[in-house]
Amino acid sequence: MQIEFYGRIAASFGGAAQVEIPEAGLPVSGLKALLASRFNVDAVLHRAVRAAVNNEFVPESHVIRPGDTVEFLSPVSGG
Amino acid sequence: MTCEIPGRCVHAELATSAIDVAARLEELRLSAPDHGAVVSFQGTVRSLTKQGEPLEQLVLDHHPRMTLVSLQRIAEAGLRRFEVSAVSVVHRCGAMTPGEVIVLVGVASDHRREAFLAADYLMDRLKTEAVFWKRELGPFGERWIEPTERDTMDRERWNEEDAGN
Repeated sequence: MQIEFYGRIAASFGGAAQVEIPEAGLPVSGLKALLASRFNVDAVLHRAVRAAVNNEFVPESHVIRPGDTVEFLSPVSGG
Repeated sequence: MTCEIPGRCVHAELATSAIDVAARLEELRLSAPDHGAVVSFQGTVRSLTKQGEPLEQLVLDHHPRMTLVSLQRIAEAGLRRFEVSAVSVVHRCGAMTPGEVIVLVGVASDHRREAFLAADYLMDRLKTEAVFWKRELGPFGERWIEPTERDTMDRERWNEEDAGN
Protein backbone atom coordinates (compact mmCIF):
# COMPACT_ATOMS: atom_id res chain seq x y z
CA MET A 1 0.00 0.00 0.00
CA GLN A 2 1.28 3.45 -0.94
CA ILE A 3 0.85 6.06 1.79
CA GLU A 4 1.20 9.77 1.11
CA PHE A 5 2.11 12.53 3.54
CA TYR A 6 1.29 16.24 3.57
CA GLY A 7 2.65 19.19 5.54
CA ARG A 8 5.63 19.06 7.87
CA ILE A 9 5.48 15.26 8.25
CA ALA A 10 6.01 14.80 4.48
CA ALA A 11 9.70 15.72 4.76
CA SER A 12 10.35 12.74 7.07
CA PHE A 13 9.03 10.27 4.48
CA GLY A 14 10.05 11.96 1.24
CA GLY A 15 6.34 12.49 0.50
CA ALA A 16 5.33 8.82 0.27
CA ALA A 17 6.00 5.40 1.76
CA GLN A 18 5.23 1.81 0.80
CA VAL A 19 3.98 -0.69 3.42
CA GLU A 20 2.02 -3.94 3.44
CA ILE A 21 -0.94 -4.24 5.78
CA PRO A 22 -2.85 -7.41 6.78
CA GLU A 23 -5.94 -8.45 4.75
CA ALA A 24 -8.07 -7.95 7.89
CA GLY A 25 -6.96 -4.33 8.07
CA LEU A 26 -5.18 -2.23 10.66
CA PRO A 27 -6.38 0.69 12.82
CA VAL A 28 -4.82 4.10 12.15
CA SER A 29 -2.91 3.85 15.44
CA GLY A 30 -1.47 0.48 14.35
CA LEU A 31 -0.42 1.82 10.97
CA LYS A 32 1.26 4.80 12.68
CA ALA A 33 3.22 2.41 14.91
CA LEU A 34 4.23 0.35 11.88
CA LEU A 35 5.41 3.48 9.99
CA ALA A 36 7.26 4.82 13.04
CA SER A 37 9.25 1.62 13.50
CA ARG A 38 9.79 0.83 9.79
CA PHE A 39 11.03 4.32 8.88
CA ASN A 40 12.29 5.40 12.29
CA VAL A 41 10.02 8.48 12.37
CA ASP A 42 8.45 8.98 15.81
CA ALA A 43 6.77 12.25 14.72
CA VAL A 44 4.09 10.25 12.89
CA LEU A 45 2.86 8.90 16.27
CA HIS A 46 1.73 12.38 17.39
CA ARG A 47 -2.07 12.68 17.68
CA ALA A 48 -1.96 15.98 15.78
CA VAL A 49 -0.84 14.04 12.68
CA ARG A 50 -4.21 12.93 11.33
CA ALA A 51 -5.11 10.19 8.90
CA ALA A 52 -7.33 10.70 5.88
CA VAL A 53 -8.87 7.66 4.22
CA ASN A 54 -10.41 8.12 0.80
CA ASN A 55 -10.13 11.92 1.25
CA GLU A 56 -11.92 12.14 4.63
CA PHE A 57 -10.34 12.59 8.06
CA VAL A 58 -10.77 9.49 10.24
CA PRO A 59 -10.16 8.83 13.98
CA GLU A 60 -7.21 6.82 15.33
CA SER A 61 -9.54 3.81 15.82
CA HIS A 62 -10.60 3.70 12.14
CA VAL A 63 -9.63 0.41 10.50
CA ILE A 64 -7.71 0.80 7.25
CA ARG A 65 -8.25 -1.92 4.64
CA PRO A 66 -6.08 -2.91 1.71
CA GLY A 67 -7.18 -0.82 -1.28
CA ASP A 68 -7.97 2.32 0.78
CA THR A 69 -6.32 5.59 -0.21
CA VAL A 70 -4.43 6.51 2.94
CA GLU A 71 -2.74 9.81 3.70
CA PHE A 72 -1.24 11.36 6.84
CA LEU A 73 -1.60 15.11 7.31
CA SER A 74 0.22 17.47 9.66
CA PRO A 75 -1.98 20.08 11.43
CA VAL A 76 -3.67 22.29 8.85
CA SER A 77 -3.84 26.07 8.92
CA GLY A 78 -5.42 28.49 6.49
CA GLY A 79 -6.16 32.21 6.53
CA MET B 1 -21.34 32.25 -7.30
CA THR B 2 -23.89 29.44 -7.08
CA CYS B 3 -27.39 30.22 -5.83
CA GLU B 4 -29.35 27.17 -4.71
CA ILE B 5 -32.33 29.45 -4.27
CA PRO B 6 -32.38 33.22 -4.84
CA GLY B 7 -30.87 34.92 -1.84
CA ARG B 8 -28.86 31.84 -0.74
CA CYS B 9 -25.63 32.02 -2.72
CA VAL B 10 -22.20 30.52 -2.05
CA HIS B 11 -18.80 30.64 -3.71
CA ALA B 12 -15.64 28.77 -2.65
CA GLU B 13 -12.46 28.98 -4.70
CA LEU B 14 -8.85 27.83 -4.50
CA ALA B 15 -6.82 30.52 -6.29
CA THR B 16 -3.42 29.69 -7.80
CA SER B 17 -2.59 33.33 -8.62
CA ALA B 18 -3.38 36.79 -7.21
CA ILE B 19 -6.99 37.18 -6.02
CA ASP B 20 -8.99 39.83 -7.91
CA VAL B 21 -10.59 41.23 -4.77
CA ALA B 22 -12.67 43.92 -6.50
CA ALA B 23 -14.14 41.43 -8.99
CA ARG B 24 -15.01 38.85 -6.33
CA LEU B 25 -16.70 41.47 -4.12
CA GLU B 26 -18.63 42.85 -7.08
CA GLU B 27 -19.96 39.34 -7.85
CA LEU B 28 -21.00 39.05 -4.22
CA ARG B 29 -22.74 42.44 -4.21
CA LEU B 30 -24.59 41.64 -7.43
CA SER B 31 -25.68 38.13 -6.37
CA ALA B 32 -28.92 39.60 -5.02
CA PRO B 33 -30.40 43.04 -5.57
CA ASP B 34 -31.54 43.66 -2.03
CA HIS B 35 -28.51 43.12 0.23
CA GLY B 36 -28.41 45.84 2.83
CA ALA B 37 -24.89 44.94 3.88
CA VAL B 38 -21.71 43.53 2.36
CA VAL B 39 -18.86 42.77 4.77
CA SER B 40 -15.43 41.63 3.63
CA PHE B 41 -12.18 40.53 5.24
CA GLN B 42 -8.78 40.18 3.60
CA GLY B 43 -5.91 38.29 5.20
CA THR B 44 -2.56 39.48 3.86
CA VAL B 45 1.05 38.30 4.05
CA ARG B 46 3.00 40.18 6.73
CA SER B 47 6.50 41.50 6.03
CA LEU B 48 7.91 40.25 9.35
CA THR B 49 7.71 36.87 11.06
CA LYS B 50 6.45 36.52 14.65
CA GLN B 51 10.11 36.52 15.65
CA GLY B 52 10.59 39.90 13.92
CA GLU B 53 12.69 38.59 11.04
CA PRO B 54 12.10 39.76 7.45
CA LEU B 55 9.82 37.42 5.52
CA GLU B 56 10.65 36.80 1.88
CA GLN B 57 7.90 34.35 0.96
CA LEU B 58 4.92 32.60 2.50
CA VAL B 59 4.20 29.26 0.83
CA LEU B 60 0.82 27.54 1.20
CA ASP B 61 0.91 23.88 0.24
CA HIS B 62 -2.47 22.30 -0.49
CA HIS B 63 -4.02 18.87 -0.93
CA PRO B 64 -5.10 17.97 -4.48
CA ARG B 65 -8.64 16.99 -3.41
CA MET B 66 -9.31 17.85 0.25
CA THR B 67 -8.41 21.55 0.18
CA LEU B 68 -11.20 22.77 -2.11
CA VAL B 69 -13.71 20.51 -0.33
CA SER B 70 -12.71 22.06 3.02
CA LEU B 71 -13.29 25.57 1.62
CA GLN B 72 -16.69 24.55 0.22
CA ARG B 73 -17.80 22.97 3.50
CA ILE B 74 -16.75 26.00 5.56
CA ALA B 75 -18.47 28.45 3.17
CA GLU B 76 -21.68 26.37 3.17
CA ALA B 77 -21.65 26.11 6.97
CA GLY B 78 -21.44 29.93 7.20
CA LEU B 79 -24.41 30.29 4.87
CA ARG B 80 -26.45 27.75 6.87
CA ARG B 81 -25.60 29.07 10.31
CA PHE B 82 -26.34 32.77 9.87
CA GLU B 83 -29.17 34.83 8.42
CA VAL B 84 -27.08 35.85 5.43
CA SER B 85 -27.83 35.70 1.73
CA ALA B 86 -24.40 35.14 0.16
CA VAL B 87 -20.98 33.87 1.23
CA SER B 88 -17.78 34.02 -0.80
CA VAL B 89 -14.51 32.39 0.27
CA VAL B 90 -11.43 32.69 -1.95
CA HIS B 91 -8.14 31.24 -0.68
CA ARG B 92 -4.71 31.37 -2.27
CA CYS B 93 -2.22 28.54 -2.54
CA GLY B 94 1.41 28.56 -3.65
CA ALA B 95 4.16 31.11 -3.00
CA MET B 96 3.24 34.65 -1.94
CA THR B 97 5.22 37.76 -1.04
CA PRO B 98 4.47 40.34 1.72
CA GLY B 99 1.35 42.40 1.03
CA GLU B 100 -0.37 39.79 -1.12
CA VAL B 101 -3.89 38.66 -0.22
CA ILE B 102 -3.98 35.12 1.24
CA VAL B 103 -7.71 34.90 1.85
CA LEU B 104 -10.81 36.89 0.98
CA VAL B 105 -14.05 36.33 2.86
CA GLY B 106 -17.17 38.21 1.80
CA VAL B 107 -20.65 38.01 3.28
CA ALA B 108 -23.82 39.74 2.12
CA SER B 109 -26.98 40.00 4.18
CA ASP B 110 -30.00 42.13 4.90
CA HIS B 111 -28.42 43.60 8.01
CA ARG B 112 -24.80 44.21 8.99
CA ARG B 113 -24.69 42.33 12.33
CA GLU B 114 -25.19 38.87 10.84
CA ALA B 115 -22.70 39.62 8.06
CA PHE B 116 -19.99 40.63 10.55
CA LEU B 117 -20.69 37.55 12.67
CA ALA B 118 -20.60 35.20 9.69
CA ALA B 119 -17.30 36.67 8.43
CA ASP B 120 -15.75 36.25 11.90
CA TYR B 121 -16.98 32.63 12.07
CA LEU B 122 -15.71 31.83 8.56
CA MET B 123 -12.24 33.17 9.37
CA ASP B 124 -12.02 31.24 12.65
CA ARG B 125 -12.87 28.02 10.82
CA LEU B 126 -10.50 28.74 7.93
CA LYS B 127 -7.59 29.35 10.34
CA THR B 128 -7.96 25.90 11.91
CA GLU B 129 -9.74 23.68 9.35
CA ALA B 130 -8.90 24.81 5.82
CA VAL B 131 -6.56 22.14 4.46
CA PHE B 132 -3.33 24.10 3.92
CA TRP B 133 0.19 23.89 5.26
CA LYS B 134 2.13 27.13 5.65
CA ARG B 135 5.86 27.67 5.40
CA GLU B 136 7.78 30.91 5.92
CA LEU B 137 10.93 31.50 3.90
CA GLY B 138 13.54 34.12 4.73
CA PRO B 139 17.17 34.65 5.71
CA PHE B 140 16.50 32.24 8.60
CA GLY B 141 15.75 29.43 6.13
CA GLU B 142 12.37 27.68 6.19
CA ARG B 143 9.89 27.43 9.06
CA TRP B 144 6.52 25.61 9.26
CA ILE B 145 3.60 27.60 10.70
CA GLU B 146 0.95 25.60 12.53
CA PRO B 147 -2.30 26.81 14.14
CA THR B 148 -1.72 28.61 17.44
CA GLU B 149 -3.51 27.97 20.73
CA ARG B 150 -5.26 31.30 20.13
CA ASP B 151 -6.53 30.06 16.75
CA THR B 152 -7.95 26.93 18.40
CA MET B 153 -9.59 28.97 21.19
CA ASP B 154 -11.12 31.32 18.60
CA ARG B 155 -12.56 28.31 16.77
CA GLU B 156 -13.96 26.83 19.99
CA ARG B 157 -15.95 29.97 20.80
CA TRP B 158 -18.46 28.90 18.15
CA ASN B 159 -18.80 25.42 19.66
CA GLU B 160 -19.72 26.93 23.04
CA GLU B 161 -22.38 29.04 21.37
CA ASP B 162 -23.72 25.86 19.76
CA ALA B 163 -23.87 24.14 23.16
CA GLY B 164 -25.89 27.01 24.59
CA ASN B 165 -28.54 26.82 21.86
